[in-house]
Amino acid sequence: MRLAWPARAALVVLGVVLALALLGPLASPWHAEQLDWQRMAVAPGLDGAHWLGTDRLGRDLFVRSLEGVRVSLAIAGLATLVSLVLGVGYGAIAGYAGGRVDALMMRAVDVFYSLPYVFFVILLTVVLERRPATVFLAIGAVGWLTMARVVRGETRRLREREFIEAAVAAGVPAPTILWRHVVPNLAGPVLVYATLTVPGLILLESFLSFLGLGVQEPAASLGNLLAQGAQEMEAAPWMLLVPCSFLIATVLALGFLGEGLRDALDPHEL
Amino acid sequence: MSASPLLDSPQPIARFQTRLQARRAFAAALRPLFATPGNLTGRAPRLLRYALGRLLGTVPTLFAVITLAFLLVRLAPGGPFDQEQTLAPEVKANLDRAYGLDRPLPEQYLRYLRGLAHGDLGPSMRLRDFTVNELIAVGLPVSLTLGGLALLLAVGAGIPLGVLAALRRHRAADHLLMGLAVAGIAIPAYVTAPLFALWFGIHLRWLPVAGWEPGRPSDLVLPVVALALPTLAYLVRLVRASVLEVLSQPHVRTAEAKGLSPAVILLRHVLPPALSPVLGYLGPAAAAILTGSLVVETVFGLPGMGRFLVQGALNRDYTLVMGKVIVYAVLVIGLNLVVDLLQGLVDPRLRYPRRA
Repeated sequence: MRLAWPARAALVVLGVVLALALLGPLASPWHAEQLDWQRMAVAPGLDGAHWLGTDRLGRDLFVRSLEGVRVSLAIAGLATLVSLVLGVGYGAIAGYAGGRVDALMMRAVDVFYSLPYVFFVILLTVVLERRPATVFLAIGAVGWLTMARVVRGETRRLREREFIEAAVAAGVPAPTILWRHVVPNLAGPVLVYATLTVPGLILLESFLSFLGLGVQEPAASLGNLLAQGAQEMEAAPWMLLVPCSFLIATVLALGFLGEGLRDALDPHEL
Repeated sequence: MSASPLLDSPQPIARFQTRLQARRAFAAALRPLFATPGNLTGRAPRLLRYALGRLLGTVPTLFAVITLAFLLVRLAPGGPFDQEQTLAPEVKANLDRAYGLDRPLPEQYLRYLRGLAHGDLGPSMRLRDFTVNELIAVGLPVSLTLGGLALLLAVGAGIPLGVLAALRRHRAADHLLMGLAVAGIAIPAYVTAPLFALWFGIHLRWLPVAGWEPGRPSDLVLPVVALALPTLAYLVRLVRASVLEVLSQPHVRTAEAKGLSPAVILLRHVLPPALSPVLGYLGPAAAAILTGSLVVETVFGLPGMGRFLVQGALNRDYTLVMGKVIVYAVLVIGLNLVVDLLQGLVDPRLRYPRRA
């Protein structure tokens, strides 16, 4: 498998961001939630104690942004996992069953699709109290719809293949066929689509945090850092620009990587 | 008419004839649509049946929206009258009675449905002296102006740019547009909106940073652009892919072989089929723009529908949150319906039930 250059560049950027997110805070003497009373809202500078400046409370923005990247990536990753399990299960069953069951199951997906889901995620985060765990559950509960569609289409294609027919003829029960023969063959498209899901879910998480419904202070996530930065941008633009650049770098890299993987693994458009 | 010597079977002509027949049959089917709209069970005109089917299809969706909104809001811990200092039990009981919250849940649900059927969304539970209808009547025009203009900008700029990218495939303009499009999709409105405000509002001082005065269009420029960008970027890519696909089809080659000018080929043979998926995307696009307007309104301080929504959800303002979510849902569902009907009108294949 050979990736196109934008995808390879994206892989490098992603590696750098990940390495920074995991190791960067160790290199700085500051904690994500530690206040520096002497230096509140100072601008970025290499000579100072804070490379990327501090926020209104004197917390180091370099460390806080990386903490935000970590939290946002973790939430999006877990939510992708939730949507992957739900979507693959649902889509494979619908696609393999076919006929009326399939029509009914996909009709339900259509109904969910036409709901303005973000408003329901907002309601969900309210119902489930605001903790990171509930945020990823709420997001993952939404993300599985497209996955289910992709998987269902792929399963319908697989169902016509000879090895499935052979398994049916050999008397293998349907659940075993699904688990042993269908699901492993879905790996390619599922991997591609999961990579494309992560940036979308990062954006959804930071959207919720931006509105104050996601990750709560004093914990950091890219969304709530952006929200604070947006309030302070007249006096202290770096409070907006620093988390912003991390978000853009992460999301763009994941986007390009997903597209590259799709082109490399899967010639037909998903 | 004789078969062309180049074709070794009369099949294309046969196909042409069946298409002619199909077209006549369709015209015949349309005729009663204009004459008598009755007799829906028998040989009802396809288009009318399609439209009715779609219309009926929105009913369960609407019902699901209302029920889900009601259940989610009510299942949330806490209530609208929990405050910093707890109210005396008698006061709370009185408040609960006044708003009908002391009734069993199913009864409250039926009451809410009855109010809804009369277009009454009830009183706001936290913003005293306001009904939800009044609050929505203030916010909806602002949000619709903002969203409508953003959708117009996205479609108006997205389609030509997408066609341009497709026609200049693998050239500099294409690469530039695609790079920008990927960035545009990846960078959401809540990032661009504050950045725009920072650059154009504070740094360059070209446009107001925030605020809303009726009749001052400069207030709308930055919010509309920030809101439209992700949808615009997505449309550019969608149109490009769609145009490229149509360009590779045999009917375009035929048109070229006939010696039609490139402009005629583009306008008559490429764009109509290529824009059908674009029409389909308008529904999700409208949903995305409505969602985005929640943030854009917050950043630019516009008094739209998004105002009080998040606060209302945190305060457990049951009626306000339900009312706003339902209005948003009705907007999205309504737009999807309009798009469906337009697609049925444009693409005859959709009027016929799909066979598995």
